[in-house]
Amino acid sequence: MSRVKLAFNWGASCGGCDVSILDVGRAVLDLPQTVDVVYWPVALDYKRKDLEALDDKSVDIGIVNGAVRTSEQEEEAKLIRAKCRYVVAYGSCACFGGIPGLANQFGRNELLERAYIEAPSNTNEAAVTVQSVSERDGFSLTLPEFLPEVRTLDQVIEVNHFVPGCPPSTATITELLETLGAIAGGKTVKRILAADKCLCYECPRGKTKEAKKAEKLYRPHELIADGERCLLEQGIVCLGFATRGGCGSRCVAANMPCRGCYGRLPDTSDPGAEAMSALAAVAGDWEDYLPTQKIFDVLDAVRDAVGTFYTFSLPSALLKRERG
Amino acid sequence: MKTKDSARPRIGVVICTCGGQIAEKVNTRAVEKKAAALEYVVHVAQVGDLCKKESLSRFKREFEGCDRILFAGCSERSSLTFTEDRISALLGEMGMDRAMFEVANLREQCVWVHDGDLTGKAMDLVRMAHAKLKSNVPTPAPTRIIKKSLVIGGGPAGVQAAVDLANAGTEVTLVEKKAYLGGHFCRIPYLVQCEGWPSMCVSDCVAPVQAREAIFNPLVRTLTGSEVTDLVRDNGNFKVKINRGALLVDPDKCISCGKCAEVCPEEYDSEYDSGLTKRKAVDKDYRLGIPDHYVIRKDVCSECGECVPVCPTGAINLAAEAEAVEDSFGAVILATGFKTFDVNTLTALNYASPNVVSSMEMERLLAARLRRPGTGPVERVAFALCSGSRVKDKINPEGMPYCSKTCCGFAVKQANRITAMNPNAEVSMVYFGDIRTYGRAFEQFYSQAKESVDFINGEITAVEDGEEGLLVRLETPDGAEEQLETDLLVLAEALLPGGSELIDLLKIKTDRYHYPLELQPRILRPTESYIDRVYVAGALTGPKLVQQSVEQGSVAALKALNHVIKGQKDLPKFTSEVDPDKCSHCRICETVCPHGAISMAESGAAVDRAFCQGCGLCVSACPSHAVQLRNFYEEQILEQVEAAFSEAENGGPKILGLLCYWCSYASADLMGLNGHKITNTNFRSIRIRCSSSVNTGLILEIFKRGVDGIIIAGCPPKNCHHGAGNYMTARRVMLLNTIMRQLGLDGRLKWEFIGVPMWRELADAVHKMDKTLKALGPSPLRRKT
Ligand SMILES: Cc1cc2nc3c(=O)[nH]c(=O)nc-3n(C[C@H](O)[C@H](O)[C@H](O)COP(=O)(O)OP(=O)(O)OC[C@H]3O[C@@H](n4cnc5c(N)ncnc54)[C@H](O)[C@@H]3O)c2cc1C
Ligand code: SF4
Ligand code: SF4
Ligand code: SF4
Ligand code: SF4
Repeated sequence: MSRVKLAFNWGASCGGCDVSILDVGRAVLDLPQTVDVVYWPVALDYKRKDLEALDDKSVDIGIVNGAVRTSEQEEEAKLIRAKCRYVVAYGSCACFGGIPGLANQFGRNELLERAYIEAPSNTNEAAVTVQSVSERDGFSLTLPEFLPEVRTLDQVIEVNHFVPGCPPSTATITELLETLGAIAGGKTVKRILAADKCLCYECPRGKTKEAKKAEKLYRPHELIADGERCLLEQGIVCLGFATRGGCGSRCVAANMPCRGCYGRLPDTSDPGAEAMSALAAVAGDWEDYLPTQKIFDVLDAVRDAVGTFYTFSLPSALLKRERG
Repeated sequence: MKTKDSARPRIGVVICTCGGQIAEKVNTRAVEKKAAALEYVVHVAQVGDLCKKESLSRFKREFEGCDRILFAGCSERSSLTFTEDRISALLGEMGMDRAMFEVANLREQCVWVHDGDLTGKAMDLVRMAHAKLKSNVPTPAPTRIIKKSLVIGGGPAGVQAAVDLANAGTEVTLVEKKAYLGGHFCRIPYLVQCEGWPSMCVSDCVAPVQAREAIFNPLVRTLTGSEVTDLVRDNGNFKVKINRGALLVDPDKCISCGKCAEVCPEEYDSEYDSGLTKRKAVDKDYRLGIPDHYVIRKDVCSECGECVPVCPTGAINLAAEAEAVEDSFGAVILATGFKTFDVNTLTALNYASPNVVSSMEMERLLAARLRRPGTGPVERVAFALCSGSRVKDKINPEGMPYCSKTCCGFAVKQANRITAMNPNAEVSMVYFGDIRTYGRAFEQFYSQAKESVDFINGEITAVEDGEEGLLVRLETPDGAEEQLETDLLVLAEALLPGGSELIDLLKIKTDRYHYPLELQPRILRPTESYIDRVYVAGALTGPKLVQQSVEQGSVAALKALNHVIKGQKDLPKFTSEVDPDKCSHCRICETVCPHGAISMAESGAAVDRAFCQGCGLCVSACPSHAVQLRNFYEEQILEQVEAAFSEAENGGPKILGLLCYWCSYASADLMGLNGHKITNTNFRSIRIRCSSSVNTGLILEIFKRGVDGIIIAGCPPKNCHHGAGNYMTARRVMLLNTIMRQLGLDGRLKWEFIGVPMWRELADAVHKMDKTLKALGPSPLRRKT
């Protein structure tokens, strides 16, 4: 089989996704035997012009992590699309918007003002925010434009495969590396490299479930959770029931609830709605004995509803912030 | 979506003008014309009075060739003449499936609530009904119900249920834990007869009379000394395992001569007699017990074998073993009675003292004419009412907050018996604030007691054993400390439901005190538990007189008979369906199902349709979107939404009411009935199942289709027909609204608790939303295509 040509790129992301690839250990060292990496600015000395110089569709697979927030990220995403026959959205930011996507709760100016003026760590008496073009001493400096909202990769370009995770688990990455040949060969591989069933299906705590409601909910720091029992049934908001499995149950194994980085389940259209719908049903009990306004108190543990149900997915939600 | 049989639907549309009322504001001819052009419509007609006999028979002939009917006229929920049940029956008579109709509510929710020309709205309502009707699927085939009932608990309630079921010609298995029938009933020597008549029956007379009716009826299989060990739902029926205790004494041979007991060396306290007398390991401590035979208590028997040779009929076989009985039933009546509050926890009352007794011990003492073993007849007796009931005080924090209702009455009955047996007895009664001898009989016993009994209002703080009997210290309401001396203190203890393990096994919905809840509207459904064909009768549902327990046994039997005589259950048109490929086995649906219809199988969640009540709680809760409600498929709702505002140009913002099947939809109907008008003619409603039948994802999809605002309404607190559906949705809407607020999309979604008569509140909610939406402008949530 001919060697697979790969391009890696990153957008609005923390860098963890690139690290995660290096993190799989031996498998990465074996890569050069089967693939040619033609572009990977984070790990190797490549510049954008190297990408531009490639012929259209000359690269087999482009693996892109990060969401799209700036004009530069948008341009590069389009470049990758032009140069690569297949594009993989790698990591929750590229797939669903990720943590950077939470910025979509706010308008562009609100964000810039907060970051450059209001934040207590700033000293910015002139109250200048970042500019795309600024003139100084006869020079004109340009920066990529800060676009009005964060978008997922597939809101900008066509994406062939999705590899969710914040970052993707070693097992998922290994699966990706093992299927590169198949993807390049145009064979049918899964469009989304994650389980089709929710995390509960494979969670080691699943078998402890008693099908009981949680009369009280706790924020993670309020309770030292039992290490064996279902976290949700202990009253901890674990989103495993509404999130694809395949992550290797990393968080729940560390006694932390699932926050949803593997994304929404196949037959749903909104990433947070199902979790909300289910949580509202299983949280709280014996409401008949409470004054009516108290039936909501159980949800006090959900301090930030957007941050709870759309931690990794706000840009892919059906609800979009109304912009003026 | 699941689709019907391949044949093209043949829809008949019948528009009833309701004697011209609808035609006053709706151009029904225009509606008729447009309806005729809708997909699959093969026939349209207009009538003036469809609910009347003559029109109906004409209708039946005219629409014979159709396989589904769209009725445009009055409300299927609130009409007094043409309700959904009647339409279903009519369809049945015409050979159509019961699920194959939809109603466009042109009267209550159109011409009665708005002024002006309503032809556009009427047509939209017809379109909505049509959008759903065209994809309705047939009602599932009936489930076979086994023609046998299981009654658990052989107290007066259970025995009566068994007798009534058998007298109606059906088979019953009656399982009783104890060796004899009669429950608490046969241990109470003098029984207040009923609520209205201040006279007594004696259990020595009536208990065996009731029990023999059961035992000698060939249709009743009585299993005493037996317990239900497993009870699972199985294809619409109940699969049961019963542990039939070892018959060490063969009932078919034993003649109750008592020779065995004479030689048995092992002696212990009689449970029947509350320890007042002793019994042997082989004995019959309730002499009038039915079935009439001796029993050996295995836990006390030392297997010395003395009794075996003396038995003249060779009835004793010490090697006999317990038998596992397995059977299936179509109905279950739970009549496991009451248990008493554990008075040991009330330390101030000193139940550890031999001179402090429970109320049942007092009953046995009355049977013994007040003679206690070792001491002379009792001379001084005090009663402590509310022992473990109505607790909210500092002294005895243990107990139940409710009033056990019958204890005051039973205590005055006992007090009167004491003075009747020993006119010199000194009797006093310490009560908590008030005496609650309700009804004609109890109150008369109370009046009578007042002549001889010293009633003291107060709270007992300590009970001490002294030389001269007991010293009872108490505090009166004004804080004064008092004390009284007595030989015996009787605790009128709180009553609790019995049979907890079975309630848990069946997953019956209960109140906080573990009393099973009856189904809503419980006012019309005594004894019906939340689980189909599981009935709860007698003291299990709350403290009662024997007569009331018997009454409930009969009611439960009658309800069970409806099913076991027919031998089949017609399923509702709405039932839950799980797609095993999508199910992730998370068990959320099982957690929320109030009717115990879901269990987990190898392939995931499995719904037993015969128990499903189509509430849709599972649908809205399933995070995998693996559950759908038959004939309430999400696609159907979305198609209705898409059709809903076709002619909604000038009426105002587009508001959709998702109104629960019983309360809120009826409330919208009553708005019209009461002549209350709403100005926004672009208010449309969908009669959803429980308010918790739509999930959050669906709400977002509805917004995507261009609705400006949504009002979801469900039953008022404590009134949801499916337990907690209203609270679930209230919380869902709260969460979604928080998110919408965070995203600057506030004001388009509202939850309301709306009971049937709360139509003013509903109208108000519509008006308010109308105002808000006018200020906000058209929804930005509309799908941009
Ligand atoms: C002190 C006192 C005085 C009373 N005086 C009167 C009176 O004067 N007049 C009057 O009308 N009423 C009186 N009552 C009330 C009366 O006892 C009850 O109304 C009546 O016994 C209730 O009948 P039941 O069949 O519902 O329950 P029970 O009589 O409690 O019978 C329940 C039966 O179910 C059996 N059972 C329980 N669990 C299981 C199981 N898991 N498997 C199989 N079997 C099981 C029990 O062994 C028992 O036989 C009095 C009650 C008390 C406490
Ligand atoms: S074998 Fe048991 S029942 Fe019989 S006499 Fe001995 S102890 Fe009594
Ligand atoms: S009936 Fe009387 S004794 Fe019983 S709980 Fe009510 S008030 Fe107390
Ligand atoms: S809630 Fe849905 S996914 Fe979970 S067990 Fe039930 S049907 Fe399956
Ligand atoms: S529709 Fe209601 S009764 Fe039926 S399975 Fe679902 S939750 Fe249970």
